Amino acid sequence: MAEKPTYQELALRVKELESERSQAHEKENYSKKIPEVPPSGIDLGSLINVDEIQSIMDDFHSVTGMVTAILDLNGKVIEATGWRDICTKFHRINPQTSRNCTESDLFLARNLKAGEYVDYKCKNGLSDVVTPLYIGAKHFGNIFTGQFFYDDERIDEERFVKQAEKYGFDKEAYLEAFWKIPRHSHETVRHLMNFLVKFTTYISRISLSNIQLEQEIQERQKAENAQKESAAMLQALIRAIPDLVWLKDRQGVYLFCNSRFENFFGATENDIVGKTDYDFLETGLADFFRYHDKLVLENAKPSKNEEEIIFATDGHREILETIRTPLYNSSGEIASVLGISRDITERKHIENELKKYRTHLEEMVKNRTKALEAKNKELETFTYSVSHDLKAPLRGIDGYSRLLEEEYADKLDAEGILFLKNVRQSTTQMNQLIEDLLAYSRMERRDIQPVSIDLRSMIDMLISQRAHDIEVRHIKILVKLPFQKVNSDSETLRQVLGNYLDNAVKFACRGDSAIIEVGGRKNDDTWTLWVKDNGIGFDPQYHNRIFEIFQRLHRAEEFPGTGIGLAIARKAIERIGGHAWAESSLGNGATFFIDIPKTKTIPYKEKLADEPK
Amino acid sequence: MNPSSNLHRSILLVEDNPLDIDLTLRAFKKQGLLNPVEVARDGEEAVSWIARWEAGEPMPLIVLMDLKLPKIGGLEVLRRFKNQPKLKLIPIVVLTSSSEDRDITTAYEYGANSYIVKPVDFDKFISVASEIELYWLGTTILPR
Repeated sequence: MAEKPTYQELALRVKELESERSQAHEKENYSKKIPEVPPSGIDLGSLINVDEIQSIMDDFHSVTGMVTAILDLNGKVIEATGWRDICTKFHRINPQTSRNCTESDLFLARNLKAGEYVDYKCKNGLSDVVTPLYIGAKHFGNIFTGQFFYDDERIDEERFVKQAEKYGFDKEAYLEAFWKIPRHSHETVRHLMNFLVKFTTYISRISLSNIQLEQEIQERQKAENAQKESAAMLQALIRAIPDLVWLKDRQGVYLFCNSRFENFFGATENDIVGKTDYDFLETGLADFFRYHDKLVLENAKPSKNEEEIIFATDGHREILETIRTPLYNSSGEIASVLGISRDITERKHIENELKKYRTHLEEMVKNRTKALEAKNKELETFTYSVSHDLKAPLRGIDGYSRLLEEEYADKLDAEGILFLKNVRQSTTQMNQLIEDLLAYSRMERRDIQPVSIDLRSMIDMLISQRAHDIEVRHIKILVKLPFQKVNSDSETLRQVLGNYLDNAVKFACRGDSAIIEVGGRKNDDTWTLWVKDNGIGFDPQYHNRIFEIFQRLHRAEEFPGTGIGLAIARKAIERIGGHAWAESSLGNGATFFIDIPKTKTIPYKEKLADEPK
Repeated sequence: MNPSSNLHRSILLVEDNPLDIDLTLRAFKKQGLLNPVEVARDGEEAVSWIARWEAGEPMPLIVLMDLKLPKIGGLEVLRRFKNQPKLKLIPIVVLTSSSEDRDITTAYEYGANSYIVKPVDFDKFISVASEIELYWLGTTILPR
């Protein structure tokens, strides 16, 4: 015989069976009004008030005299009534007989069937019945009755006498107890079990519903609290925002506003809610606000505008940028206008300052430019009039020395005549200098106008202007240009190429083999042009000096010239972003180059190379 | 061919520089100019001749005009001469040192008949005088 199992062990076994059987038990029979999964962690004891049930069942027992027991799955007794003396005083106490009890307990547990009750004759001779208690699909406990004889069975008193002897019971007491054992009909037992099952199930179900309801309420409460918390946090947030925040309904009545807004109106939110702008502001401003509110309500689109307001709390002014947004209610209609206003006073101030500075700067630049232009004009006039004013006396000097030469020739000796010649020569020189200076200044004053230039025509014209000297010197001119047109300043090119040609002619080789070549090359960003001669050339160490103003490499009587021409040429070319340079070796001619940048043509009239002078 | 009666008609020289006046006169004399030459020494004097001619005094054959004049500038004098209905027929030869584009353009805009740059070189000056004489007093038929 197995060791006497405890109720705990029984309960364990019951649990094992439960998992085997739970699939087989239909929920339909037992869980119509109960949610499928009752909350976990609930045992029968928490569903049924043990004391109350015990009391009820005690009364029940008084009426019926029947034995009942309700146990949860852990073996905890929910109620137990009417247990027979024979069991409590004898069978359950004696180790051997109690083992029989356990065995029958085990059997019952092992053979639980939902909706059915299991019948068992215990080894001690009495009947036991059990049925499981299900709430929903969950097995919560078991309901017992027992310790009786069926009325249709033969009761063997002898057996009990023998038992008393066997186990050493007080025979008299034992038999007294024996006689107390009731006899029930099968029907009675059936009714009893049904009653117990329904009763317990019903109570449990109600209890379970209550518990579930309570839990639901708790959860809802939690959710409400969470919502309240988040609403409170949101409100706190809005209150704390340094912008003005408010909410108005369609009629312009305030529904809500934050602390900063309170400062504007000089009232608390409580005072403001339920009122309109007209209650706090002068009509003009209130009209202005209402107008913008209405715009948003009608257009169903957010609006942005600037407004200047005075704060009621301390009277200070602020410029605000207000954004109004329509808010929709749950039916999808625009129910309110939300406004948020940001203080842009500082920003506006800075914008104004910036505008002022910019205007001031523009003003300054305009004035400076005017001043510069005036200065320029002054210089221009100065240079111009000086040059011309210098010419008149020169004319005088030359004129009178000539007259002297002519009309007083008989009174002058050779030396005297020579003196006069020298005087005249000087005036010629000075005149040329003045002309060159004039040309130099004229070049400085001019605007640069890039146009499309027909190079070939320009060069042809320059050559024809020097035709006389070219012919006299028997110079051959070759023009080899790989490109026809360039975009540049026409006057500059004319001046420089003219000057280069002049030099080439001046320093051309004597005799009949003089050749001047005009050539060019197209580069990525520039055009290169050159005038090459086969004349006397120059010492390459002076290649830079010759471009300096008034620097000459020859004595005046050898070759005429003021020493300005090349300086003008270089200056002119550099003004349009180009370069001028020269290469040579003594006796082997010289090549004078210019580099001009490729510029975009301004949509200007196309200037032809041959213009009237 | 101009009538010989022109010979007694004067030439008005508008010039402020005395040396230039002298040299100009000598240059023209060298070329055999016979006509009398009247001289206006500044712009105001030049303009005053307008009144005199309006009053009936005989008008010059041609006017030689320098542009650099004191009081009233040569261009302004030119303009006034040419705006005068009676005088605008008289050819005006601008004889000046300036070779500036804007002077040339303005002079022609105001109605100058000719623009000549006074050379510094005296020999050249003499040939210019000769050319002026030949062209304006010889070849060109002047208005009567």
